[in-house]
Amino acid sequence: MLVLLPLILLTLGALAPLFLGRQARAIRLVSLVFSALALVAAVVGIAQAPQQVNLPWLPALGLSLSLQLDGLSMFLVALTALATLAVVAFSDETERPAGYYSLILLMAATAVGTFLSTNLLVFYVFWELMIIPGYLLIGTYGQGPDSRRAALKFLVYSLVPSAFLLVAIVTLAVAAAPAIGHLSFNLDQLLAVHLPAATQNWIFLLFAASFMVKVPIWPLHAWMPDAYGESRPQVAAMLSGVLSKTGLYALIRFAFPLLPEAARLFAPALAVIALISILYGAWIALTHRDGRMVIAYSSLSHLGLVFLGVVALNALGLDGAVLQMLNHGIYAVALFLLFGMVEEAAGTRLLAKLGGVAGRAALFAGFLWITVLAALGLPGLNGFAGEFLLLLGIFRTSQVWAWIAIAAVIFSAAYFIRLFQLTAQGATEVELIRPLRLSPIRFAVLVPFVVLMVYIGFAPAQVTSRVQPVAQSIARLEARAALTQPVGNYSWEASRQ
Amino acid sequence: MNLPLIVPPQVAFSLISPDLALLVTSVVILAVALFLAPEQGIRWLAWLAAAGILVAAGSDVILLLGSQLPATTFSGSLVMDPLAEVLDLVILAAALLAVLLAANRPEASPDYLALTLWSAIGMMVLVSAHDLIVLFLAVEVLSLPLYILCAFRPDRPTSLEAAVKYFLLGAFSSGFLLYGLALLFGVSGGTNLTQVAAALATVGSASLFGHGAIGTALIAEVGIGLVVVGLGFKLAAVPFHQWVPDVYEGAPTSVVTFMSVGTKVAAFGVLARLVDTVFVGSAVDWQGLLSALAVATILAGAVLAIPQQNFKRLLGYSGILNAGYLVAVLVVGSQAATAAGVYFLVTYALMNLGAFAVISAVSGGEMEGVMIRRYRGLFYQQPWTAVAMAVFLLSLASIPPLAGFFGKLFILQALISGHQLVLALTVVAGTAITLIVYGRPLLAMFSPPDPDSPPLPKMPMAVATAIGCLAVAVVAVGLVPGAIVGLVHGVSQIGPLSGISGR
Amino acid sequence: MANLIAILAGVLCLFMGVVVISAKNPMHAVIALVANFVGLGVLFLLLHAEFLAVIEVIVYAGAVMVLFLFVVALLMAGTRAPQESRGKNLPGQVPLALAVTGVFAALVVFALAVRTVLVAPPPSTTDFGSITNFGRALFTTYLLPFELTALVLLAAVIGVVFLARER
Repeated sequence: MLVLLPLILLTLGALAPLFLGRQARAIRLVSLVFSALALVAAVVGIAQAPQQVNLPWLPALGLSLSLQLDGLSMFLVALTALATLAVVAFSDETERPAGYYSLILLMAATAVGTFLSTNLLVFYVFWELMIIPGYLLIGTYGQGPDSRRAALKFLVYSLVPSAFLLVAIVTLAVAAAPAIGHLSFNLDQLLAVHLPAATQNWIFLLFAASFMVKVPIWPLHAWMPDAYGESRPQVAAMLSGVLSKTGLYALIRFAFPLLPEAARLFAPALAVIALISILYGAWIALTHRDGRMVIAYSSLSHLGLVFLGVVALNALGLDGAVLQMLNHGIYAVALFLLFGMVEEAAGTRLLAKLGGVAGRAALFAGFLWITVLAALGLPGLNGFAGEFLLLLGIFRTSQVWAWIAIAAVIFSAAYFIRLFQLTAQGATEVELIRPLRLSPIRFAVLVPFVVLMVYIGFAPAQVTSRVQPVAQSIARLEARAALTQPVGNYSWEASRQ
Repeated sequence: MNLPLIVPPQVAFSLISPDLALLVTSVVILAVALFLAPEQGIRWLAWLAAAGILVAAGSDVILLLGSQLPATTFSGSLVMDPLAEVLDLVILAAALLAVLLAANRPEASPDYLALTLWSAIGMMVLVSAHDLIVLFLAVEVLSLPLYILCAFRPDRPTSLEAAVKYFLLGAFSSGFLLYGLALLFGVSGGTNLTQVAAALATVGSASLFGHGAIGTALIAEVGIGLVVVGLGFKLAAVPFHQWVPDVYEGAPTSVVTFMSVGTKVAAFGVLARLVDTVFVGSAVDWQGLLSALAVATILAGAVLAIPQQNFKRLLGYSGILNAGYLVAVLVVGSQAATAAGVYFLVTYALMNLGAFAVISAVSGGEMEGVMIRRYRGLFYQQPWTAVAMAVFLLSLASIPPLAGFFGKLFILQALISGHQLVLALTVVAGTAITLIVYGRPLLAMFSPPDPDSPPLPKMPMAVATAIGCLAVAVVAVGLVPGAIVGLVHGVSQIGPLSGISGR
Repeated sequence: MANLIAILAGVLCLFMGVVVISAKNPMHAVIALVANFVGLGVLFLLLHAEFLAVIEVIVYAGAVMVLFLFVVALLMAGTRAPQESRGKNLPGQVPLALAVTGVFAALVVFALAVRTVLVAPPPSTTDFGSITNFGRALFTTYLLPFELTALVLLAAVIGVVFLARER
């Protein structure tokens, strides 16, 4: 039941504000408590993993509530809880708090659900449900003038592929049913079935499109600038820190192992897309005038690298991908939240108008500096460990990919240093419309982030050793696929009756 | 002259007890109303009607649980099987909600209650119809009261406009239906569906240049086509949907609530029965027609819903869209597919009735109240109403794990298992578009409230209870879909005559 | 011979039907409807449905139409035919109507051209439409439609009362 605990706690936390009406302080406190409890449960879960739970849900349809906490999912669950705690702590001046906190915790709960589920339909339930809080948070708690349009864009980009994802999932199950003996959506059973390549290919494309939108990966990223730019920084932190990981996670957990031959076929094309993502994101981040957009496009670039590591299709790359997903979650959430404080204090996020924050708030600038260093991959901090492992994995598959990707790491240093200089140092002194001060609770929440950046930087094996068995088994699946005979042919043209 | 005695057929009254309960209630209402001063006892009468509907539903459940089903009565012209009884329950639920919503409204009157009950009887007979003449008359019994009910707010020009529009197009569609039924009768020489099925199974292939009775096959095909067109009007399938938005906008909300679910259920029920007993076993091509109808309905319904500002019109287009899903699943032509359609229809009824109940409560009978902008900030004025509405809208958009999702899932599974690629993709395309449609009111409800909007009307207790029950049901059916899956498995054994189609 | 009569009666019905919906004076429309019913009665007669034919003429062409005429005459007394009722056509109404008519006309012509249309054997006995057989069918096989018709009429009556009262 430990598996279910973070999910249950976050769901309860999401429901609680509905019963508290307009008592803003109580709502905030309850949300804080529930996300903190979820974090504790997730950390305990890391110690106790692997664990799984199987509850029958709708046996007629091969549907069971199968949740699993293993090396792949446990860190991401903990990351979600940590990010939620930080976002709640940093959102203390929200109007209409009941809806806000409820939606934030709902988003976290659904993300945890996607990380845990090992039944494709259960996964789809959480995946689809996750869109709704995102849509409402962008649309009704947005900052920019165009927040409704941004919300609609987010909705369209998320929904259209995920509607087709359902067709892919059902087709997969129907095609595999003869081999299994009954209709089943369970990952374990589906993994044992080897489908013919023709069926795999188009299912894989629908899977990949749906998952890549969420990351996002170029060219499916068009919703990202609007959604990250028009929403509150806290919501952007949630989208970038947590939601983007669900897409990558689903690729690793479902798309690649279930459809190994298609994955092998499309890997080069996907690698090209990943490389474009890396370079394109880096280029925009280097030149953008808006500080938040720099962070947003840096995410596009960094997650493109993670995607490339996944596409490399070897255990090392997968291991590095999971580690770097965790790392990116940590520093992206911290960056969005810290820069969000600058935005609120200065009333602008144009880099040209910012500067000199370090002289006004030294402690704050210290946090920002460490986070930036972690993000740009300074050895000794967490970002370096992840990037190193990823590049190693990519190198094993293709040296060309690896050399291009390394260029992005250099870019990354450039734009993050630029971001820090233009915000914290520099000749211009920003006019602060209100003081930039870390409240005790915000300080208390930031400390674990810094601790993690350092700790993972020095002891990445604490993470990778736990991921390794899962990564290796997935890589083995990829290798084995070519050796077995396909079964369960499914074609649309098959005659009726 | 020694006339031979006419021996009337055996009528199993227990089988038609739900219909009888409604009929008796309606007559009692009309009779009692004569002795009541106007304005005085209308709430009483509404409760009486509700009680009658509950009795009907109770006898329906008894039939469903008992061992009598499936059975025929009225010399084989009426079939009582699980399909009919389950759909009857849905119809009764819609009628019950209509009566509850109307109780505090200007449209409430004894005539209103009686007409609603009669229309419900027509629907219930239609889903059991096993004879072409019964089919046609049942369509009339369900339609005629609805035409009049649409006009029940004569103070509003839109209400009359809705009634006239609905009446004219309805009469038109009746013509199509009757012509189609006549052609089927002409081909088969009998009106019972058993005879029709037997005749259609033997007509030659519908090729104009083939051998044999080419004319017969063509006539049969045209007959089927015309019947589908006639029922398509009732089902609100594209291109026979033009009446829907205007009627939904103009007619009283309680009436729209009833007809949006009831008519759809009845039309689906009879179409499913025709498909399962007649079309599937026939040598005539019927799938192409239904496929085209489904694709057009889904795409047009979804796209036309996008720009709507009026909530009732929006739900009208959403009804068109959902009719498309129902037609699509019938194309598969298996009993499992019909069962999927029934499951979808049950979930659709729950969420659609709920959405209309909220609209009725929020608008308080004003025209302005049904605009989407009226819903701005609803969450901060009536949080639970907004949450319930969100549940209904998300379920309509088939967001898991709500009831609507599983309805859609079963349909998809049926389509994919039946190798209907185009239809499966069309269904998900429609689904993808609809969340954009339902997203707008959703966003409005959670947006900051409009400072100058008038306060919301107070919600009557019965309506609040109904909304609460429906919302809980939508969530519960989603979380425990197995609860009504058993029901659906019962439905998949349609009629005592399923053997005729040769399967 | 019978065919000729059938065609003549059919043409009469169609023509009068057109007159019903196109006549500007309601009185003319009602009278055209009577002629239409008479044509229908002839068709019933040709199908050996004497009873129906008689009913058609007596009840519909006779009683119901006389009632109609009275109502129209009473309501129209002193009022001129409303001018604005000859409103504009709906967009595409005429071509659409012609297309639909064309389709059905083609169907009828096709049905006449292909001799094998009628599979169902024509009624073998001349008492097919007799009162006895009609009554037997009505109260046995078609008992339910009979009852349903009562419900339709009831609904119509209540509806008319309601609509008339509210105005």
